[in-house]
Amino acid sequence: MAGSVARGRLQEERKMWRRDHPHGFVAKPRSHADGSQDMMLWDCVIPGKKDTIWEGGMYKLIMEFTDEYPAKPPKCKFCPPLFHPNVYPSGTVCLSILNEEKDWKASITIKQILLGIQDLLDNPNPDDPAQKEPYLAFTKDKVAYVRKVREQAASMQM
Amino acid sequence: MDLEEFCCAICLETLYKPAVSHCGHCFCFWCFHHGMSNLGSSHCPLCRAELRHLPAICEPLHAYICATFPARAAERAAATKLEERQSWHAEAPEPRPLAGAGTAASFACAGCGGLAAPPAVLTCGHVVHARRGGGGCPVDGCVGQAPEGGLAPCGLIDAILRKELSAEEYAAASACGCERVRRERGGPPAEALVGREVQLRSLRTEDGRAVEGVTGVVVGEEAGELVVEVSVESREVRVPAEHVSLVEAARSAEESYVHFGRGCDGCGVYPVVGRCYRCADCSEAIGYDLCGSCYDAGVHTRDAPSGRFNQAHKPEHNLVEVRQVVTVVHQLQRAHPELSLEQIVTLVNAHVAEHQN
Repeated sequence: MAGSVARGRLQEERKMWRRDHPHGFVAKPRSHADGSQDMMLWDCVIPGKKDTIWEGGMYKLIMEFTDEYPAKPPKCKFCPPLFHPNVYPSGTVCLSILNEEKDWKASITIKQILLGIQDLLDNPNPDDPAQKEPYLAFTKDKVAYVRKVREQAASMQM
Repeated sequence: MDLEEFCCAICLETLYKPAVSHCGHCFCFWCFHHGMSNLGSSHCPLCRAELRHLPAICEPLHAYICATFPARAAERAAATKLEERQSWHAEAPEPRPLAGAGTAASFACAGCGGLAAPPAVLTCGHVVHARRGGGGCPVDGCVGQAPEGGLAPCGLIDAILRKELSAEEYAAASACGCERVRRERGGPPAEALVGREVQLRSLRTEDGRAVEGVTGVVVGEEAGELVVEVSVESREVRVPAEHVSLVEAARSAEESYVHFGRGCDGCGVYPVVGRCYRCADCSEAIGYDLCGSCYDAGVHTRDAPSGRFNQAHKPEHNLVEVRQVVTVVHQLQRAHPELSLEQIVTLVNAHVAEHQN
């Protein structure tokens, strides 16, 4: 059956997450109104790191898995889209560990992905811009960049 | 060693019936198989090395895990059996009982018989010393092989050996003559090259220039060197055999036909390219298939021809050649050699989806 490896792996990820996960983070398969769960679609929340301009914000992210997971990485998408140099206008995160052609490995866990994205928030990669406005602000006008990120953090509290 | 060290990177559970890739990474038999593409080349989920063969269980490693963590192994066995019945409709082979199971002694090199340190695993699941070059499995009648790029050490088995052996024992095991023995197996013998077209690594012309990529035909052999009649300057040159490479004849459509989803139950190549034979008498849903070269070698007629999925194949069964049905994917593949099969299938799927809406 297609995707049974993906589903088995995601069950195991769920078990591991329940046993232990970093403080403030959320990751769970989407629940439908009828009580059933969609294992291939996870709703996540990444908290902004303490003592950074991202602090205070709780950033919502959707992880979409395919039947090829974990041979292929999940698609990670901020919803709503985020003001960040490495996030596409659609909300999709541009990060080497999420790129099959670059550093994705089957052994990377959901916890590692979320921690990696949290780290990316305050450490944007200017060599890989994905969104024009935050990229220009980050490289040319740091004051405006910081103000915009702080406003965003304030507007995304839970 | 802790149970966590025997974790499959794909399912994150304890390795069950582990198969080891030529790049040295271990996955459960089914995780390995389901991680492969049935269309074209597959890649290791950990290091992206190209994988060309179906998984084969590394029996000593399986035995070691079962002996060290019997309760966990039994749980994994029950869960896998259930999944084989409900989802996969096929079975992984059942490893045979092994002498010295659970000890370092079971990790003996199939080539020299000594302990395989540093250990690597061939495409047939046999353990040998890690090596640089390619070549066949030293076990009699086994069609397993090491790819051209050689075999990388398996980190997990190496950790077992380093734990079970003293430093002196490990050093002694790694100082065997295996590498020399295997070098002789690699590459075709000189007499087999006579009459074949080869490419020379470089050729010094009569006016002293070095030219690369000159082709020629081997006309004979003299004092360990090949005599090659080269296409430029129409003369003969003498070169050592390792300085030439065979020019593969352009492959015909029949020879390059890809049998999507069919793997060879002999050497394990997946998917089969070129001629393919299917057993008409095996009743398993997954079937028993052989590639052209395993069929020519008579793998299916041997007394103990084991399929890669535990098929009950018998030497007296009949094999029939699989007809090469040219699908739209094959046509697109031929028309667009620059596209990968995966890209073609994505395009076809998108096209079909569009027409359904």
